[in-house]
Amino acid sequence: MENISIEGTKYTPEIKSDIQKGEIKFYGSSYPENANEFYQPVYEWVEKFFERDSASLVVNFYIYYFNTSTSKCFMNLLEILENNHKKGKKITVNWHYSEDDEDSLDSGEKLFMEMDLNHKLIPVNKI
Amino acid sequence: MQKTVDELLQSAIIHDINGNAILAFNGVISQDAIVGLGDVLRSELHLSYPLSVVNKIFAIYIEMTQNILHYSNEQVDCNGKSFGKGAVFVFEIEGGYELATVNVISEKQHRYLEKKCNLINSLGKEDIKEFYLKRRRKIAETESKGAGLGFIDIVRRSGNPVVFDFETLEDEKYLFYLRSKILTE
Repeated sequence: MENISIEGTKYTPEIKSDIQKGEIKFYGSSYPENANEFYQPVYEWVEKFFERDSASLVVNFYIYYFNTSTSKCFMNLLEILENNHKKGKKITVNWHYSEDDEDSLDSGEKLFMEMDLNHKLIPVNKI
Repeated sequence: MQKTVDELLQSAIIHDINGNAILAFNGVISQDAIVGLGDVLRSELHLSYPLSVVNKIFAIYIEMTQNILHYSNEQVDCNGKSFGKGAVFVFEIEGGYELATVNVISEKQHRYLEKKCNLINSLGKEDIKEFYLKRRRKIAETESKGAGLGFIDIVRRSGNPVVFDFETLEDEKYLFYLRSKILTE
C-alpha cells in the first residue's frame, strides 16, 4: 500500500499520510468544485489502511474553512472511521481550530456530534 | 443572462440595498472565478475586520456562488466541464455587508426555491442550527452535491433571513435574486 499525497491548492487541502507512523493529515481550506470526487481517493485510502490487522490511525485536521459539500464528505469520512473503531481499530481524530474564530470551533464540534469516535478539539494560534 | 451589471443594479431588489457596491461580476461563475473574486473579497475585508468576520462573510459568499456554478439554468461548456452563469454583488452597508446573487432558473427550481427560502426564513436562530445538522446527517447518505444545505448555511451563519425574488422570463424561465445580510457589529 502506498501513502496518499495530494498537494494543497487555495480551495483544496494538502493531504498527506505516513503509513509507518499511522497518520493522515489534512491542511488548508476545502471548497472544491466537486467535493465527492475530491474526497473519493481519501475514503479508499482509509478503507485500505484498515485492512491490515493491527492498523491504528491518528487523523489530524488543520482545516480553517470548509464549505457545506465538504462537511458532508467529512461526515462520510468520520463514519468510515467510526465503523472501523467499532471493529476494534485504534483511532484518534485531532480537530485543530483557529483560536480567533468561534465558528471554526463550532463547525468542528458539530462534526463529531453523535459520532462514537475518540477525538480532541485543539486550539491553534494561527492556522 | 441578457441583463447587464447596470441593469441588475437598477432592478428593484438590488437597488433596494442601501450601500456601496465593492464587488460586481456578471458572467461565467467558474471555480476559478469564485476563487479569484473570493481572494479579492478576503483581502478587502481583512483590512477592516478580524478573521472570524472575514471567514463568516467568505463562507456565505462561497455557498451563494457555488450554487450558481452548480445549479444555474444557464450553463456553458468549457474544456469538457460545465459552468453556470450568473451575477454576484457585494455591498458595504451600514453596520456590515450585503451579498446578492442573480441567476436563471427553471420552473421546477422556482417552485423548489420558493418553498425552501420560505421554510428557512420561518425558522428561529436555534431551530435553523438544528435543522442544518439534521439535514446534513440525512443527505450525507445520498449522492447529491448539496441539496439545499448551502441555503440553510447562509441563513445559519448570517443570522438573518434571506431576501429573495423571482422575475418571470420567457420559456418558463425565471431570474432568481438572492440577498444575504451580515452585520459585523
